[in-house]
Amino acid sequence: MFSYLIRRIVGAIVVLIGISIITFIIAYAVPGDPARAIVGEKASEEVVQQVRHELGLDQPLYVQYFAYINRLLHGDFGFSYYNNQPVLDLVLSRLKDTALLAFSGWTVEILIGIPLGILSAVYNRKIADYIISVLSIIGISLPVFWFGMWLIYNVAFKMGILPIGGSGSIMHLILPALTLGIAGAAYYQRLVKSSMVDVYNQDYIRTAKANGASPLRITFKHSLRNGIIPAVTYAGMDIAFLLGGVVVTETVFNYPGVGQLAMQSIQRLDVPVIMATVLLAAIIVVVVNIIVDLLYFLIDPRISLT
Amino acid sequence: MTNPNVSTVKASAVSIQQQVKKRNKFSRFARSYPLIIIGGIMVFTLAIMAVFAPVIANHNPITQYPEGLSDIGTPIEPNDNFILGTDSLGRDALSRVVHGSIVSLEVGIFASLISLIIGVFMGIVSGYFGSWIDMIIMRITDTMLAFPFLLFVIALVAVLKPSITNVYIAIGILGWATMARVVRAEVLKVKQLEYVQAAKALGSSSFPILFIEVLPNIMGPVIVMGTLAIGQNIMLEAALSFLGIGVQPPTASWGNMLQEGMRIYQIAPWMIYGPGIALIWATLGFNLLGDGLRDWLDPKTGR
Repeated sequence: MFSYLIRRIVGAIVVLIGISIITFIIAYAVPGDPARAIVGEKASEEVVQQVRHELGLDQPLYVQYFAYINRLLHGDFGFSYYNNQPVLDLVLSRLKDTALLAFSGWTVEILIGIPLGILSAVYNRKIADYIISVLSIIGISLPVFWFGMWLIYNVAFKMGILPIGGSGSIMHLILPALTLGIAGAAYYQRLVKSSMVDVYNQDYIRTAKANGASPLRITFKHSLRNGIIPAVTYAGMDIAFLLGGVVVTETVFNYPGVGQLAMQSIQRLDVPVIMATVLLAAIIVVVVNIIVDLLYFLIDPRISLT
Repeated sequence: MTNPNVSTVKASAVSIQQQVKKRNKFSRFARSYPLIIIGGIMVFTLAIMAVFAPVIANHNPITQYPEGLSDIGTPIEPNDNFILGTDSLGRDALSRVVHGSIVSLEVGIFASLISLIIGVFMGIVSGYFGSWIDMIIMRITDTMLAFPFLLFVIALVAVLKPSITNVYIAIGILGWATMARVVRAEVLKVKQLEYVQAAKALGSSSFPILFIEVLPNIMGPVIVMGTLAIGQNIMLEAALSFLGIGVQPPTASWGNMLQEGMRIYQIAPWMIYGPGIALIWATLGFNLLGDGLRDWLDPKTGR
């Protein structure tokens, strides 16, 4: 257990270094000239050179990379080109709303996906299973932003029962959470179904049936715990999916979170903010994945972590 | 005395039998794998739409028609002339939806091809050579998978400047990691097989073994993943164009049409439905086809 944890953390550190290299390359090597972007089009060449020197942009690339890492380790994610605030403050001020939205989206995924998965496994190859399967593949094929628009038009605009956008109350969260969660719900449905069907074919379930256990007892007492394990592993990949989804969802619903900030920064070509959001999102994904791996172990003692 | 017609009758009876057999075979296949047929038809209609776009569309997709706007300058709802209505500039929505299929297929196919080529190469090398090569490639894969994909692509397209080419390059070079993992797992299975061991024992060098012996045997999962990737990448392109960093107007793409629909849905709700349904048709088609191919080529992992 302990040595597994150590190896897992070393692996995560390697990945984090990889993430920092990739964001560094995209942020500093690809776009034209950050110094020019800061001082503006009209500034003279001398001023640009001056700023370039101050920022260390005239140094070799690897020196710049280590300076970048050094700043990151001190919690310095740079300054926004646009409003000259520290990037970290900007992002953190919006993180709470985004976390709330992502969590609500995840709740929708679980609340819809897992029951439907169980249902379609119990009624495998019966009419209920076919209906759920069709709904599920439509759910996977639904573009997040289109579904959001559709909800806004039909539920918020025409029926007028929920707000069109913004944030502040639980009512504001319902449509964005549905939008964000519907595709994920379909993934959970498929995952839970296929693993539950596998479990149903196991000997111990046959034994339980032979002993006269009721179908309900077989499903919830004997199968669910094993059937749900793949869904737990998927949660690790799911966090990356949700964090990508919030960008679109927040834009559609005009929801003031990190995703909206990322989109605004992209329109303003505010590279430090764009890269900080990408970097932070990736760090969150890595950390959540470690937690999920450990949970996995707690849920299923058969898995040996050596 | 033999009737010369008998032999021809016999021959035609045989050929009818063969035809019936063929048809039976096809209908049995269609009944076993309905998803391939349904998805295949959907994808085929999409391809027809893209190839014959100028013939199918009854208007020019970027012309702003004066009669496409009402007296007060608002879009016109669907009618005989503009079957799916018009947008806020008086352009024909149907023609734009039809021409949008070209962009979608172009991005979907090229982006998937790029990530397929990188992913297969990385996966095959990683799985076959193992040891430190495997370790390095797998760490790179982990790193790529840690980024929320959509956000990652948005960031790269933004710094590369939005254009059709940059969209599929960005999606392609960032999207290979899952493919690499799947291919690696397949290679690990295949390289234990006798014929690969035999080729090795006969002294074949690594690269011919990889591409002659190993590659053809992992094509099943690759085809499945490639098909599913096209659908996902079509959706991704639409999302990028919807956010304003994908295909730029006046070029028609379903995503930038929906972006406009988002702005004017209160007066022109048809702008949500035309491009939206086309987009769902495309992603659903590729998803069904991919799922069907998985059931067919890889029955063990099928649902």
